[in-house]
Amino acid sequence: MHEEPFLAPTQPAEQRAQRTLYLAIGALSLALTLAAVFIVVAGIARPLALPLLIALAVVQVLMQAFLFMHLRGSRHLYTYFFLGGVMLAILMASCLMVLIQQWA
Amino acid sequence: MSTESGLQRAGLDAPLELGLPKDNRILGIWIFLAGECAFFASLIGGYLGLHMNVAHGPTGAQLFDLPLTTIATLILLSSSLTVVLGVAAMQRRDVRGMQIWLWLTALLGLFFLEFQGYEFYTFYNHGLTIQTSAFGSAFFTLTGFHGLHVAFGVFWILLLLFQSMRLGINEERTTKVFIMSLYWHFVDVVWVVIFTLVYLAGKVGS
Repeated sequence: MHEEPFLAPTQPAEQRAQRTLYLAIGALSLALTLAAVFIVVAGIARPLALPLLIALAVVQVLMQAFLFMHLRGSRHLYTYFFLGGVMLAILMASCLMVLIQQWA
Repeated sequence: MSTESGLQRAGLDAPLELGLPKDNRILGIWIFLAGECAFFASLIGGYLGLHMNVAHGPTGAQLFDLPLTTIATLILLSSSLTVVLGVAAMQRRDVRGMQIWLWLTALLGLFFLEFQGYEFYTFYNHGLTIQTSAFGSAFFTLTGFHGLHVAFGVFWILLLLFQSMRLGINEERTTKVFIMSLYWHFVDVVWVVIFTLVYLAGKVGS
């Protein structure tokens, strides 16, 4: 039986560790955004810029989903729904993009 | 983990049954968010397919103000941090702390909406409307729907805040706050994707 995500750590040390983790993830997320902007503004890694930007976005999305949205430590079913939705989204967006470009 | 220990950890006084209803609500929001993934995928796919069709209007690379959008993005990402700290405060039964973090989240959401409104107004002044070109239609539809989601999130937060101020916090309302936080994080996640694929990729491709 997995623990419900809204049940908190009860020990003060655990609570402090949780807050530190959230602050670290928040700071890292902001830093990754600024890094992505820097890649674009400075024009570095030009041929690889787009894959690099997408990779940075994927890291941000996963951090948000697994740590802020508490997928880590939650029931696997939630993860399946989330990742299933993401896979469906990627498939839909790719198909639409190709179809529209083909006919527009 | 037994049900009893779970209740004790939640700090609840009455021995309520932790059963399907609570699980179903959280499962329900995850199913809803999976559907939202498909909804935004269709808008993003449409935008990516149409963004080159600018007719005689301005292009994204000409219009996008990266510093402005970066500030808006940092504001929205900060709101993700404040909402998770609000949930953490709620878990500690620190109602005042939760309320402060949620007020801050709503405020950051409103700031983001103000940035978006300003951006739309600027684009309008530069000759881009929803009718100018396929790019304009796709751009305003995508970012407009995201803005509507943020606006709904702010409304939801304010509603829960007023509830918590009037009625306090109990097991029922903690679940509601947690579900709202999932929605808010999802809206942030979608913005990360939009910021990357629309604004940053738009500048890289120019």
